[in-house]
Amino acid sequence: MRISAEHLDWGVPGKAIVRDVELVVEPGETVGLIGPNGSGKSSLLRCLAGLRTPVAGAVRWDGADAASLGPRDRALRLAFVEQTADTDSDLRVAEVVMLGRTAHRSRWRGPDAHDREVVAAALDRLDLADLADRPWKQLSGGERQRTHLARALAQETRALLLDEPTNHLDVRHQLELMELVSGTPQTVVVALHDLAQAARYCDRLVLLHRGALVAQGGATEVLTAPLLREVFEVDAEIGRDGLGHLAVGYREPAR
Amino acid sequence: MADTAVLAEPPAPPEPVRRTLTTVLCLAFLVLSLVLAVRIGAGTGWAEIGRAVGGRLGVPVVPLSRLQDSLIWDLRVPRVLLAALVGAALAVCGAALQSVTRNSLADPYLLGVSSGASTGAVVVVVLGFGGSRLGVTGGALIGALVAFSVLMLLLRRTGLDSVRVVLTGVVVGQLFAALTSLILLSSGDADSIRAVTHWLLGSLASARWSSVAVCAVVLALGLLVVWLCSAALDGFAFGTDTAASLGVDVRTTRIVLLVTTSVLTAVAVAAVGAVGFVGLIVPHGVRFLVGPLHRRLLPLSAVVGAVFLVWTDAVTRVVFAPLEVPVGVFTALLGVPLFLLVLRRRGEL
Amino acid sequence: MSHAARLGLALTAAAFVAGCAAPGGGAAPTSSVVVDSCGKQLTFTGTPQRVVTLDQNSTETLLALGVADRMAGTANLKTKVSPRFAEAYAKIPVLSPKVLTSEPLRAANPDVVVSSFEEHFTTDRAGTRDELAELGVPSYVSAVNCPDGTTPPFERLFRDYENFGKFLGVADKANALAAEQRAAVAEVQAAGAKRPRAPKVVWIYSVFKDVPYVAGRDGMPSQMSKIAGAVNVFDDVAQEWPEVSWEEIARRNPDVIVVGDLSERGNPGDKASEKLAMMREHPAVAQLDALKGGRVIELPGIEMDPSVRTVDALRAFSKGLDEVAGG
Repeated sequence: MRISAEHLDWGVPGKAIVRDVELVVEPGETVGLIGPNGSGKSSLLRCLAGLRTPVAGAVRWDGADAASLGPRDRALRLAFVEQTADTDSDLRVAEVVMLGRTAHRSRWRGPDAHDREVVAAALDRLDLADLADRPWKQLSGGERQRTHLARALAQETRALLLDEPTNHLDVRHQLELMELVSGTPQTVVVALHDLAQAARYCDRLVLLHRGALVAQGGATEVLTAPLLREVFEVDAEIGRDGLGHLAVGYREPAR
Repeated sequence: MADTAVLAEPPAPPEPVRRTLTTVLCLAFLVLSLVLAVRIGAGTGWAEIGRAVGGRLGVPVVPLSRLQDSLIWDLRVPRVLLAALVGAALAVCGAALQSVTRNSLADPYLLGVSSGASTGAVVVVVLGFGGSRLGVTGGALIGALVAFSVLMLLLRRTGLDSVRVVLTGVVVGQLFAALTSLILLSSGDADSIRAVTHWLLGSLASARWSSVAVCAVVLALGLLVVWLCSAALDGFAFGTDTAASLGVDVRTTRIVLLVTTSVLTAVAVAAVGAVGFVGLIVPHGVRFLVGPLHRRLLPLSAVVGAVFLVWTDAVTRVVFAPLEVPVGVFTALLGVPLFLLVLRRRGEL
Repeated sequence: MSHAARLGLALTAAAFVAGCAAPGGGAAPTSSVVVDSCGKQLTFTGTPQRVVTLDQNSTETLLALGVADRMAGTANLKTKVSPRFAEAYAKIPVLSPKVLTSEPLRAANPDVVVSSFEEHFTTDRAGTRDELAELGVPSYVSAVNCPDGTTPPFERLFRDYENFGKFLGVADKANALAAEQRAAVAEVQAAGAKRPRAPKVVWIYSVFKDVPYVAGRDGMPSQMSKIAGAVNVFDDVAQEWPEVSWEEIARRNPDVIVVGDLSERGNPGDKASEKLAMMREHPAVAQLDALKGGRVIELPGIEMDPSVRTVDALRAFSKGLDEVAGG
């Protein structure tokens, strides 16, 4: 699915949070959204997911205005995983993943055999099959994050928007998750903190600063020392690690 | 019977036999409770019940005296049915509101509906239509709906997010509680105070067929509407954005659920007063049994709520007989230990 | 309303209900008696054999008329019954010590229900009068409870006796009772007319949470004051037993204080002596001349409400006035 933002503005009364963003994500592409805390990554992601109505401009999915679609139509096209979505509820892992089938079901019926197959497959893909019956409260942060991703996969959409999905994961699960995200045929927009990870797994990076899009393109075009100094206020050195992946080294912050 | 029809309202899902069996067992348990509860109380043996009910079903039986017959058919049977309907309504409202507000302490009275009902009842009593009970019931219903309208008016430009709904509801409840106190202080006679006490604790003594009919219709519709929102209620577990991304029309669903639960609560409170605790504990207990998915939670809460109130009311009829103790007193007395037990079993206490 | 619902719910209900409408009484039907009671016309085809009373006042009135053997039950005793009725009372089943509800009432199978207050007939209490009428059970509400604007309260009380006499078939006894009490009222009235000036009286019925409940304009004490040639100081309050403050009582500076004794009820503060002790401790009330001069009349609280015993209170009040205000 092609996702585009046209002169997108969003904010709360008295404060603009996303300013005049022009962005096109091509079908099947994996785009990494980077930027410091408060740069508007989460807000832009929510706008792209159709969860916020733009103050000005528009978000289009395959040309259609996302705001004009009903919630159910949106959920059939695009899945979204929040940075942290917690609950007091005693839902079990499989039940959370089954939530992803909500838009596929009629109000009148419960999950059917097909829904169960899709859920089982999603659990498998995230290595959660053994935890299927485990209550939410007994899950670690990483297991919760993987459960949410499995739920998003069970939604069977053509686009997937993720807000810092690797946050709570250990290294192995970070790699597996990013492997999965970059390997999926779905269109993916993923907000990330780890610049090297973003560079390694994303087809393209988008750099946000104070709500505005300041650079986009391949990792080597976006992750440059001057840009990182301007946006992140760090002195960075861009190089390669022993495996040939792009690596970012940081000097002590200047006083 | 009207009640089983009501509780069987959500169409049974074409799912494994086990689930069908559970449904059948639950309904059997409910019907058994209803039948046993009709027996409990002064002046009714199985023979009398058989003669009263059998006569109406066309069975050739020796009719009872007119008063004994009316004791069973005009008082006891509607009372037991009303207990079941109100118990079911409160439990379902509690379950739904706990999900909508993401607050495990939510109960049907959280949004100030019962405070509005008290105010309405007191206004009617003070203005002097108190002679007929229909007047008080009507006043309570109007008061409850006015309180809810004020709530929705205050929330009209918001996204109905949980915290705001709860806070506004509490504020509206306080407002109407203050109004009730004000009216009582300025008119302050024993009759209006008695009316408020009645609304605060709830009593099934005034159950009649007319209120059973109204509650049955409202509960059937309300339960169906809430049940059809099951998936949305599940989706609310992780908050607004996740719910919306799952395809839930969050705002519309919240409005539908707030309106439905408030109307259900208003009708229940108008019929029997604000019976406490059922709406809070029954959903928690049922979640403990079948988990938090609302497709199962809601119908089972309805059944358990119905059975709980039917039995609690039966207890109130006999424990201090012939004194009439408000059933609300006993729902708390029986409910608190049960609630603590559930919390302990869940390891939360 | 309930009838329509019943029709809807039971297919054969209509025919069935009609078929089982059997008279409850045992006496041979005489010509039917019609009595007016608080806006309802009650028709009695036979003499009632199973009377149920809903409160102490009605109970005592009927006991005074000597129909204990035809009473199927009583309820809602405020204090002990008067000793002169105790023996007869002991033989009647008590259906409820407090407010009677519709289930035990119907289980008692009454053929008439008698109450001093219309407010007993609500669905959450004894059931509505219409419901009972539909079941063939007339409900009598004391005429005292339905002021018509012209008849004085004592006269309405005597009208009750006459009505009971009519439908319970004890007209002679009832008329004699009414005549005797009328004479007592007249006697007190004559004594009152002779009083040189009308003493100001406050009637303190009870004290609840340190708030005194006094006689207002709408109760018997206001009438008793007038008849006995006194003035109730709270006649400006259109309630039966309004709650007022001690300060207000002190401000109105009554010449005589009447204190209700409810010691049989047994709650703390129910004794007349306890109420007096409270008043002596109150800084403002303690200064009242009436209290300092001992111009206090103690009366049984139950007799301040309309009942067959109210005339006793009237006599005692008049006598008390003679004693305390005479000098």
